[in-house]
Formats: sequence, C-alpha cells, structure tokens
Amino acid sequence: VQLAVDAADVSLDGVAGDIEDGCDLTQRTAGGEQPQHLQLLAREFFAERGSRPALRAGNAAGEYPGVGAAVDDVLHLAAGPRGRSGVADRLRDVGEREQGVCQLHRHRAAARQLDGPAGERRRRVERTSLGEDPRARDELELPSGRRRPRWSARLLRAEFLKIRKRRGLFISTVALTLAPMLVAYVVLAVLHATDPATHGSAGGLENFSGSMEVLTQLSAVAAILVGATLGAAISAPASFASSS
Amino acid sequence: VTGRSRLALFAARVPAGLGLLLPLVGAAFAITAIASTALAGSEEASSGSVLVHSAGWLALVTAPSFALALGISSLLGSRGTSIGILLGWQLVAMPLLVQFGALGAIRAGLVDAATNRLAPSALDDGSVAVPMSLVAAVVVLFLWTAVPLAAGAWRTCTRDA
Repeated sequence: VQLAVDAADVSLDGVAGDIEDGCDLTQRTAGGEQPQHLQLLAREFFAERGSRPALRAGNAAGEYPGVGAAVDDVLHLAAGPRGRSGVADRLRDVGEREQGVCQLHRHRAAARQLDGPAGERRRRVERTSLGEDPRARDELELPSGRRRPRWSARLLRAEFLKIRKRRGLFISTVALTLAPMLVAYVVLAVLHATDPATHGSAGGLENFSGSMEVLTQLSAVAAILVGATLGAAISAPASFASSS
Repeated sequence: VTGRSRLALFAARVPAGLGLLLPLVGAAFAITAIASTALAGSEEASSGSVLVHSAGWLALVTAPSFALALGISSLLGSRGTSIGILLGWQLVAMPLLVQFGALGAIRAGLVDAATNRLAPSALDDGSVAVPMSLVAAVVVLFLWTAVPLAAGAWRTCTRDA
C-alpha cells in the first residue's frame, strides 16, 4: 500500500519526491512539474530577499550544476527576444539532461546486479567514466559535484570569435593601427623617391620616433573602442543568454 | 548556453579583447619597425634593443587603456558614453594634467606619467617627464589596469537582469 501511495505521489508531484542515487525503477516519471521548477521558485524567493549568495552556495554544492546554471540564466532568457518560449526551451533541455542522468543511474544499478567478468568490466568502465576520468565526465555532460573552471579555452575562443565577427569594430581597429602606419611610410617613400633633395629618407630613428608617438595615441584610441564595446556587450542581458 | 558565471564571462573578455587588439597593434608596429629600418638610407636606423623596448612599451600603453575602457564601460553600461569620457580623458585631460606643474607629485598617479617614465630613451618626444621611480611607474600602471577591471567585474556581477 505504501509503494502504491509513493508511486502516485511521484507521478503527481515529482518535485517533492526524494532524490535517490540509483533511482527507483518502480517509480514512474513525474507527470507534472520538473525539479527545476522548484529551484526557480527558490531563486525567486531568494532574489526577492536579496539572498543570492545563499542560492549560489546551493549551486556550488554541485547537486544539480546543470539545473543551477539554467536557473542562473532563466531570468535573462525571459527578458530576451524569445521571452517565455526561450525559457520553455531551456527548461525542457535541462529536464532531458536530468532524465539522461537518471537513466545512467538505472544502468549502474543494473550493473550492480551482474556477477562475474561481465559485471566487473561494466563496473570498471563506469568507475572510469564517472570518477577517474574527468574528460569522459565532460563528454557525458554529467554533474561533476563541483563548479567548472572560471574560464576555459572554449569560452575564450567563443568570446574572441564574437568580437572578431564585429566587422565595424575590426575595421575601425585596423583603420586606427595598421592603415596610418602603412599610408605614412608609403607617402614618405614616394616623396623621397620623387624629390630626394627636399625629402629625406622615409626610415631612420627620427621617423621611427615620430611614428611611435602617433601609433601609441592611436593604439590607445583603438583600445578604448574595443574595451568599451566589450564592456557594453557584457551589460546587455541577451549576452548572458546567447553565450553558447 | 554555457551556464558560466558573469564573472567568468567578464574575465574571458579580457584575453579575447587583447587577442584582437594586440596582434593588430603588433602588425602596425612591425610595419613601422621594418619600414624605418629598410628605408633608413643614410640616416641612423633603429637598433634591435630600441625596437624590442618600443614594442614592449607600446603593449604597456595599449593594455591599460583597454582595461580602463572595459571596466568603465561595464560600470556605466553605455558604450557611447564610455568612449566619449575616455577619449576626452586620454587625449585632452590627462596630457594637460601631466603638464600642469602645480599638481606636483600628484601627477605621478597618471597613466601618462607612468608610461613616459617607461618609454625608451631613444623615443624622447619632448614631453614633460614627471619624476618617479621605476617601481612607482609599474605600480601606477598596475592600479590603472586592476582597479577598473575589478570595478567592472563587480558591476557586471551585481547588475540586475
């Protein structure tokens, strides 16, 4: 009778169900709410009271890094161009990931029941993929129990690609750095070639010093353009949601 | 979606921005260095040490400007306003303040004074030199880089959606 009651409870209200490591093969999938809904409510609760650190501490505990990260961004998604449909897509993605994890746990539970070499091999593979080889863990996109590094090569490449794709900014930077030096020395060389008596050599330390004086100023201006563009891009809420 | 924190996204933009900026500035410097050497003719050409020193100095001038702009722009949340303020500061206000002798040692806290202190002696452009030690110049440049970045990171992390 108790099992029947629990099954019905999980089906109707999965959020309140207990989390068990191996999952319970007898339990059905929650028919209504998904776990992330509860965290979303918690997020709203803490956000209203200015207690974000408490929620972040919960995320850092690593119980549901995928869900926690999604909750971190869901408000930004809601404010984005796709609005509620974007939020719905995000929640569905996270739900699918959590279901995948649950399925893996079921496989582990089944592996424990195997005897002999087959069972041992299966358990060794799982130990490698889940505990001892972080690369395999990343490939499976499993919750690792700890936060990812603050930045990675993939994130750097993505950020660099985004800024490089800003054609106007790229052209402006080229126009402020490369173009003036190229034009200046071409003009000086042509002037010297046409009238050497009046115009001295295009090169030399004196011209180099003058060029550096101009280049430092223009490089500082280019740096301001790039930095200000990046900083303002960070401030836009959509950038948090689209950083994939 | 990466699920990265705002701090991680902010931190990633520093090397990303420098990754765009420094190669272009380096290419411009390469044109300058090659042309000044190859087209020197009968005039004195720049020595290797001067070129290396100048390249490092150029990077030292560029990187703090980028960090300052990134931090201020994150702090203000506006690209146009930040560019206007920073260009006015960089091209007008700071050079004037450095030349304003009544300010005395306070001028040593300006980026221009620190970069002038670190500039190669062969590139003396006749600008006013504020007396300061090498360590003080490095500290000033570090502060002008780190403080705006810290302020921008803080604002990015605490900004409402």
